[in-house]
Amino acid sequence: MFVAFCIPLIWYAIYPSFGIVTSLFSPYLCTQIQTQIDMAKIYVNGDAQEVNLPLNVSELIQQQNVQQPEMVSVQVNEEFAEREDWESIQLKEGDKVDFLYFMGGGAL
Amino acid sequence: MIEFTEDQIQRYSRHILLQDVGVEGQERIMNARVLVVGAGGLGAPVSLYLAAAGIGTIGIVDADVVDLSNLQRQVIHFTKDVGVPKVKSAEEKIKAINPDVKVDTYYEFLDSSNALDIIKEYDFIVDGTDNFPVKFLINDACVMAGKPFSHGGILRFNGQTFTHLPGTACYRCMFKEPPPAGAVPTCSQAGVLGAIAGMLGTIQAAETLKYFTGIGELLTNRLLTFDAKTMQFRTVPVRHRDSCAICGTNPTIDHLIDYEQAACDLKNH
Repeated sequence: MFVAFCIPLIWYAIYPSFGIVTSLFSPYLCTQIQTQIDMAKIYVNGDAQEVNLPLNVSELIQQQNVQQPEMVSVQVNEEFAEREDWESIQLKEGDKVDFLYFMGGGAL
Repeated sequence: MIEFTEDQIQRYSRHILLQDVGVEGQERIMNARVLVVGAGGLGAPVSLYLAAAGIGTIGIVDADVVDLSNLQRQVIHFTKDVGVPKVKSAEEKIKAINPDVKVDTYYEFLDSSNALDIIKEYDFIVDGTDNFPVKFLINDACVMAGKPFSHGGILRFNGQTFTHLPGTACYRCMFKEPPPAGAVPTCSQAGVLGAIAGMLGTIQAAETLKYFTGIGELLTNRLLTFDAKTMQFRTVPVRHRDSCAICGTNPTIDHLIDYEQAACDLKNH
């Protein structure tokens, strides 16, 4: 029974736009669990942050007000995330995201 | 085996006293050949500390002359040196600190035509340059020649550095290619707190000395960044990228590239 009730929840996580429709059919209990699970703690440049899921790397970059996102290099859990994958990488609880910035000064 | 003179024993006594360095470590330092690219904000403290430490040969590459606006942070150049080639000014100070050090000067830009020839003469390379085209050039040339190097960059109140040894993460593993000319400001456009250059340059000098003496752990596969506003230092683990265009399993770059430099940087040279 529990599994059946929580299927909308998984749907919600994967397809947020269908969330409203599916949640109409969700029992109250599952809605409760849903709100709990929707929050996640991730580490951005080493600092713990509470974020709402679902959240992909591109969305996180927007939220963090990264200046010149086209100039930043991103690591998720110590693996480089290719730019073309930023939209498809969904963040989850405990993920570590690091932004590496270009720094060019030195000689002049 | 180097025969230490009385003066040398006295001069390097604080190194020799260190268990991790000792006479052997000091001898390795004195046999070392280091190339410093850029005699500016980073190259100044790097060269001064390496000279004081007794590095055998220091090569300096810089095509610039000393400008009044350099003196706020480029501590190897003095007011009297304005208008003098930076390599000459630096050589003079290095010799004044430590006459034992041999200095090679290259009063020219490092580019694809001379990089490999110059780099091959040295055991360790320090990147103290101010622009991305040369940072990528140094990275690629060092990877191709199998040379270790220290990367350094500063901007406003921030600094970043890492050390590359053959097989560990390189600059291209972290940043695939230079940003478009002018997209990321350099110090000449954005400004920099002078002492930041000293903070980062001395880290690079320490890494160089650690490399030759084999002390501790180098900043390999780690990018050290700091923000002097909060004085928070952080090392971000970075991994060698298999798909890296220069050090990956199937490298696509087989020659050195002269990337275009931002026009606003060029006019300052």
